Amino acid sequence: MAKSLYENYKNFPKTDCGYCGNTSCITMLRRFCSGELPLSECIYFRAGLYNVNEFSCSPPVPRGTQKPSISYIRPCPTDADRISVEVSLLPPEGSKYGYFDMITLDNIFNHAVPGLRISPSLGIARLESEWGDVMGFSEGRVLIRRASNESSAFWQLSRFVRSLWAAVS
Amino acid sequence: MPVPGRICPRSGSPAVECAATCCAGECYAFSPPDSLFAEKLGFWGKPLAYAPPQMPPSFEAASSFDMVVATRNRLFSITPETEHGTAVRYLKDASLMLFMGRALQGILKSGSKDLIPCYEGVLRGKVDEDRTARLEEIISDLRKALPEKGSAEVQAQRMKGVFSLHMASKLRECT
Ligand code: SF4
Repeated sequence: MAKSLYENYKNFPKTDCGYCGNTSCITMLRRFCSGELPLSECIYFRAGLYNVNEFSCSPPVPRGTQKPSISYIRPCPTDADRISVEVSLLPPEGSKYGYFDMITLDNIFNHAVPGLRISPSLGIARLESEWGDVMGFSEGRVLIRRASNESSAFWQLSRFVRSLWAAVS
Repeated sequence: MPVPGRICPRSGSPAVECAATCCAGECYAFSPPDSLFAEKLGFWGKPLAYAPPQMPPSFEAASSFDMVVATRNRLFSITPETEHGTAVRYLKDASLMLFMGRALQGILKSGSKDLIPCYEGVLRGKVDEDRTARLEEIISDLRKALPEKGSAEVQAQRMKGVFSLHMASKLRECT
């Protein structure tokens, strides 16, 4: 049965050696999942240290034709004095890989930033702060709740997505 | 070379790794992720100026320097007030640190002492096209040698050292 990208990644070599020509193991795995490269490109599989049959994943679904947009700006349902904002940041049309690579983020931030939690299995990053809670999803949707006003909401959104810029793929 | 607005043939790599493969930085991964709502951001004060990263002075010093923390700090230097060109420089600095950290691990784990002068050259920021070409040769030789079960781990670690140094060396040429 096909496993998720993250399930496959957990059992991957994770050496990031570049033998396969990719800048990291996650890139190799994504390209394997999308049918671009066979696992035999990897040094460990080639040497027989890993078994190709233990890895399987469904090809990613290319995103449709929707455009990046500000989805809404509205009062919080639980506190009308505060506001919620949601934006959709999208990779180019036809991209197969989503927007934020949460596995890379997890590798870099690795529970080391107070308030920032990343779940590569769910594809979510969340930053809690006194200025509002921001959540980002791997497909590019980002939302803030409990912001004190619109300009603070957009500043926090900007701070958050710029910190995750490294994982835009 | 990626075409603006199109998917890069290397797509699938996160921006922090793409930065090393593309000098031009025209890829969508190099436009600020907040450009969609840029006009909603109210700024006060001046845009923040670029501050160069602190790099360890030698291979020995690098061995006790936490490149992961340095990478993370560089990424957190990109704030809403950081102007686009400076932000891309920070992203490239983070990329350099990421690859230098990986190179160090690969060199140490494979015992590839021959790569230390090269590592120190990249640390000091020296641009050296011969070095990049030499690293490419080593990469190509390593790929030609068929990996065997007993030696694959050391080969992979040496490859990690050389490949990551090559990425870092290219980054030095780009910035
Ligand atoms: S060769 Fe294997 S271990 Fe090395 S980067 Fe590619 S997938 Fe990762």
